[in-house]
Amino acid sequence: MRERDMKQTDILEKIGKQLPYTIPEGSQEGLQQRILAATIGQRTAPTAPRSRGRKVALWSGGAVAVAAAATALALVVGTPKPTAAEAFDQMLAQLTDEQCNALVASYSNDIFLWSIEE
Amino acid sequence: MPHTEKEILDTLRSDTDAAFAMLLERFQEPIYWHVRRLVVSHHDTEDVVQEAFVRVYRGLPRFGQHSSLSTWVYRIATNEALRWLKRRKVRDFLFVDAGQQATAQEPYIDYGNLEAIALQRAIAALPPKQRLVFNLCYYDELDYEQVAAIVGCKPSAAKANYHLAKKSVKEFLTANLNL
Repeated sequence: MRERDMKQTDILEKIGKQLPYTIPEGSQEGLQQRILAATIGQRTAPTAPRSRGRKVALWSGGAVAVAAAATALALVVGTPKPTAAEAFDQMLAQLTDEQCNALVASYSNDIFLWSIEE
Repeated sequence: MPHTEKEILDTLRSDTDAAFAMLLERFQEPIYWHVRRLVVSHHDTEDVVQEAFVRVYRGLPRFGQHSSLSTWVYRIATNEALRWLKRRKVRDFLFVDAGQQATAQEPYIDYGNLEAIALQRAIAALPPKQRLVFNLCYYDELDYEQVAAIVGCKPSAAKANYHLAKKSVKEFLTANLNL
């Protein structure tokens, strides 16, 4: 092997993988928090702050709608009538998390439900 | 102990957010350094990495396993870094003279480490694809298949690019360093 080639081989091995870059202390943890806030935090955070009273009104409204539908169906087919709470529980049990979120989003635009405040 | 790809993918079937948190823990640091070697500035790197992981998060529910998770995450981060480099004027923090160092805008570079600076200058002087391939092979130690999937070329082309890049880097260092 020629001297120049040997020098070239050695030079990269000698330097290795060292980098001249440094990072401020704690920056990786800070970055992780920023990323989580911009992703999971964005999705799980409510679009607008809601009081407990509003949430109750929202779900009560949903329950009333489902109960009404269940009652109408029972009248048509002649089966025993489920209570509003039973019908609501049955409906919730069959929904995925995404469908639940969609339901909340849908009813959150209902001005009649939103008007019921604590 | 970082989570394995299998653990992350198993979690993904039932809980996207939990899978993303595991993925972030597994890939944040290697992706930070991968982007940092391309973008150089620490603060710019943070912005690029954040944007890349936001894209990963959005795409995660649709991740089809056509490639490995690491290849997919590296590809998104690489594309984001390249997009950033195209949009912004490249700040040549690596090429400031000794007299300019005091006023250099990037505080997180050790300008006293002459060998490491010279190596980064040698890499920065490479054509874009060779630069990418060199970083992924040399620092991240990815195999040619993975590198090819990230860069968007054939494994044989990745191999050829790496050898060419290595030769150029060595020539640059030989000419600029007395080791």
